[in-house]
Amino acid sequence: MKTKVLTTSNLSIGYRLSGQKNRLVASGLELSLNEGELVCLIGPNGAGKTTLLRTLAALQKPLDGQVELAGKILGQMQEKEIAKTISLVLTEPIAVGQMRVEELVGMGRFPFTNFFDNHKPSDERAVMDAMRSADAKNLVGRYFTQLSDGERQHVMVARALAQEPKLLILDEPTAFLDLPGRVKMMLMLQKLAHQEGKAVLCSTHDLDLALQVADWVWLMDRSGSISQGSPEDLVLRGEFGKTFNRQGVEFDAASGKFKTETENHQKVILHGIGIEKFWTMRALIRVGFDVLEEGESNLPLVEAMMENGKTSWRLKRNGGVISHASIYSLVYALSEDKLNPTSGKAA
Amino acid sequence: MIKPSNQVNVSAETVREVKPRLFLVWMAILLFVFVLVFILDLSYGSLKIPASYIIRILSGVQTDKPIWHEIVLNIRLTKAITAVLVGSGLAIAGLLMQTFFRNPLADPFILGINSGASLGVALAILSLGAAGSLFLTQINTLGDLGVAAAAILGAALVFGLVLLVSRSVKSSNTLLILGLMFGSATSALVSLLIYFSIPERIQAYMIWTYGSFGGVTWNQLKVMAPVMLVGIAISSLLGKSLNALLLGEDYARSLGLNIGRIRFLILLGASILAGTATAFCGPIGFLGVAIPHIARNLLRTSNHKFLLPAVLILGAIAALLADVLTQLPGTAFILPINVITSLFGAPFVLWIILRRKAGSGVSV
Amino acid sequence: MKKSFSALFILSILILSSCQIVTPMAVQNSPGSGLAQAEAATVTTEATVETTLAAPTADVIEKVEIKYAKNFTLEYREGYILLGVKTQDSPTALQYALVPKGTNPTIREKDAVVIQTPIEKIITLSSTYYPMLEQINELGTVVGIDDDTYTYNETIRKAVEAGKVTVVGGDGAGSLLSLEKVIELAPDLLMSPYMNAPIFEDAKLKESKQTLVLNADYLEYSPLGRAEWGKFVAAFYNKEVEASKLFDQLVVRYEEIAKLAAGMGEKPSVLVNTAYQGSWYMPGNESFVAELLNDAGANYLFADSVTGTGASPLAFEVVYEKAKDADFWLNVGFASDIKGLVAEDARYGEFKAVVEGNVYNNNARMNPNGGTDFYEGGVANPDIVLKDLVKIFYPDLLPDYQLFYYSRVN
Repeated sequence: MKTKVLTTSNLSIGYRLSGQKNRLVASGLELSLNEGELVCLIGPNGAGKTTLLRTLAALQKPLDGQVELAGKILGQMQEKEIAKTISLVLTEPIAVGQMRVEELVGMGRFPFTNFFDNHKPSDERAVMDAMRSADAKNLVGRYFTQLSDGERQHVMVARALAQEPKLLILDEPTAFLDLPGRVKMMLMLQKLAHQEGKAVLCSTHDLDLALQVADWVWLMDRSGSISQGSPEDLVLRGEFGKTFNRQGVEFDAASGKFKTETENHQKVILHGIGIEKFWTMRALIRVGFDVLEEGESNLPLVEAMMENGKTSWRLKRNGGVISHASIYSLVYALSEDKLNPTSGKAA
Repeated sequence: MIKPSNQVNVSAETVREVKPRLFLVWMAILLFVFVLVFILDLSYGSLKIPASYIIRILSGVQTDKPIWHEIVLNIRLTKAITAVLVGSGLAIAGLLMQTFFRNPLADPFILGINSGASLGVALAILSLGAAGSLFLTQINTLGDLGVAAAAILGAALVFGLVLLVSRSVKSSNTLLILGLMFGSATSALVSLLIYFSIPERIQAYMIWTYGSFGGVTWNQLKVMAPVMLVGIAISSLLGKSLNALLLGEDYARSLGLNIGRIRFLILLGASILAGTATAFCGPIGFLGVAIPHIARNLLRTSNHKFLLPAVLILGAIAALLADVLTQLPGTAFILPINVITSLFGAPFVLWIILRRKAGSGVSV
Repeated sequence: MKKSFSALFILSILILSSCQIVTPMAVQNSPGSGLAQAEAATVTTEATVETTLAAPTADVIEKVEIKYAKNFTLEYREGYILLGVKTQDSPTALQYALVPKGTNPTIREKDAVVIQTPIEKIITLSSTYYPMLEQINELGTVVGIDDDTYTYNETIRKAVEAGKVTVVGGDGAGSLLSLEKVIELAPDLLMSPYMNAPIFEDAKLKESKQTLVLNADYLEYSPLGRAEWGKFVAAFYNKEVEASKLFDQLVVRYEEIAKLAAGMGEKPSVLVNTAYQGSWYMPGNESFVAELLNDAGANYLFADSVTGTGASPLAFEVVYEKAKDADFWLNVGFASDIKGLVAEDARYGEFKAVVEGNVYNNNARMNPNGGTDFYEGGVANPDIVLKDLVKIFYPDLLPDYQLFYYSRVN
């Protein structure tokens, strides 16, 4: 049975404006976070993800309802108590001109050290452990400002871990990172949850990666309502499509990806095997073709073949056969056809 | 020079910081320099008094020149002590403001405390009327504190306003702008007062604006020193919180800091220091902005645990040096402090900053 | 935690306020020089006959009266002279009790600064005191001066060069007083003009227990009143009677010249000063300049429009309207010739006084740096100034007289 770290009951979040008016972002939220689970908060821009994270992190007050942290009501807890339970990684840039990595990570020990911030051996051990868990151990001794974006993110996670929190909240941790960096980050978060037993909540735009690592997903739409479930459950329930549907954008449950809708789908038959076939199909779909396994003989036929270690493509069309050495030229030829559809005319 | 080392003693379990050793070395050097400069400041003045006499006078030994006793103990010693207090105080206040606003250009007067003090002084000096009829009564009732009292009142007024506003304003940038606006408003008022004043009064006010360590009496020091020390004490205890503030208010809060209380303490500390220094010595520029940067560059750190004591001593040294430079030895001429701090300070800071590899620039 | 910080805050405020209350109270108990308190404490109530006789200012010698000067009083007390200095409309006066050396009279005025006379060393912070000291042969007691850049007096300048007189700063115009030099010189007193000069607010000077005497001669608006301050200065040397005699002679000379000019029929019109950055500071009709012009039998053009004892800034156009037709133009600032004057502002060329060559400046006696004797000796010798003016306006009244402080601007 997983331990609940944080629960909300009938939570309303938003902003208090001057006077009595409030701007409501979402209401009636019943959420929970468990130890050992990675939860991803996904939603379109402007839905209120950051507001939700800030409210759960006690940076903002809820408009209604309450948040319970490890059994206590968040609004009644002292900052220090909260600090020993929740730690954050945010998107704000920090102004640490001449700080070394270990000093920065060391700041995570604030809730535990005395007035003069003297570090005991236990503190130093916690710092080292945090850096190890966050894959930042090799960065010791470097100045923070000299690190790359990816390295900096790891250090910020290490800092958060140095607080020895039960719950780690991250706002867009993969923003500004390159693809390998994003993968590393999400995998690390998963490891923190599964192997170190932390409750991890992160918001992200990286749908792809989120679907691959998250144990649970909070899907937030613009009206402020949240659908919850494991990623695959949400997909099968059609929730992703509903949330992200916009003109010209469609979530394809089969592939787990977004497709751009194009018009005037022409059909083409594709034969082949393995990854050559897979990538040829992707290219044809990208250009806007409907790819079929079998079809009528008047449709163009593409054969992806391996000859002497090299791949080539044969395009049979209107009685003629042309061999292409690259997908690019194949697609080019087909697109030309698309632009000037003549029936039966040889190229 | 000492280069940032990429090798660090990393044992299997702990990280040992290299910093404390570098810090202690620097502090020892700075302490030594401080003592030297303190004696230097006591040696310089319109009269030539050899260092041997100074040491004897300070140790209480009688010499054959009783007049020199009076000069060293009543004129130069008060001046040097004032310089130390103001130098340290303004440097710390500057550091606090730079961290609070996360702005490397912030100075101790950014909240307009200085302007409040100037307004108080301007009212006291300039609004006494052409015939100066009130003046005669003034010099007896305000007593020793005189102008300083007016300045403290003015500074306290602005401080109160700032506190009031900071309660309802979330962003520190807004506070910064408010400080600038207070500054502008009071400057305008002062200009108005000047416009309607007679030349002698304007002269008196102008002289106040030049800044001076030498005008503080022992009686005044009895008030000034404890107040400055209180301000320094409050500020020194904020090291941990200031470090957290470097990360931003959100992170600081998430580390368990009570932002409201910390803001109040920072504002209180900086205002006490800047307001009192200005009240007794006039507005003294440049020290508050420059010393924190010099400290950061020398110690290669942003950690306030090390910066606070470093800034304390560096500020004192800088102020003493500036005081030495105001006195062209042998002559009666004394240059205003503000001229010296700007003239010598600006190129020095430029040198400090450009000395580093290009690109590291200035930061908090 | 919150409570402790609020307590700290309140505590600091309490400390601050209590310090501010305590210290002024401490100072109020000993205003002026510490010497006064010491004297008051040790003085006995037995004022003996010997003490009275020893005082040179007793009924034995004639008493000096102050007739023209409005800003100081000289009163005879038992065993000492009480000098009072005030500005025209201030209620409180600064008082100086001049006690002859070797005597110990009771000083009734608790706030008076006690000074033992005759003094032997003086630091002067204005050059108008040189002629007053010179006329009683006490110029040699000057050990320190504020600045020698604009000094005209030869004796003083030579003494500075020879190192006998030290420049100590503190002229109230920006140069700061070097307290160290003052202490080293150990003068009996410092004499300074300008009520409002920073020197009177200098807490450090007060702390060092130096005696500072206010000389408000420049606040007098009558020429004779200003010159009468010679008695004030002389009193510190027990020579006030001598100074009084010299002054009486001065008055006689002055009134003789004024009488000459009084009976003339049509008075020439006079304009003074120049414009500065768009404003023309014009002396009021009760000012020093206006009185001199009046006594010299001239028609000061702005006597009706500018009132009071100070100078008011007028707009150029307002001045121009009347100035164009002024017969004479005096005190034209730093211009050394007509060309230079007109170069300051081309409109000056249209003035009648310029066209007819009746422009005079008071810098005939000038030191290398531009300091003029008009502001030095001229204060002690208003009769010569008056003579100059009468010579300018009515040259035939004084055919053999040569201009002294004034010269024509060519």
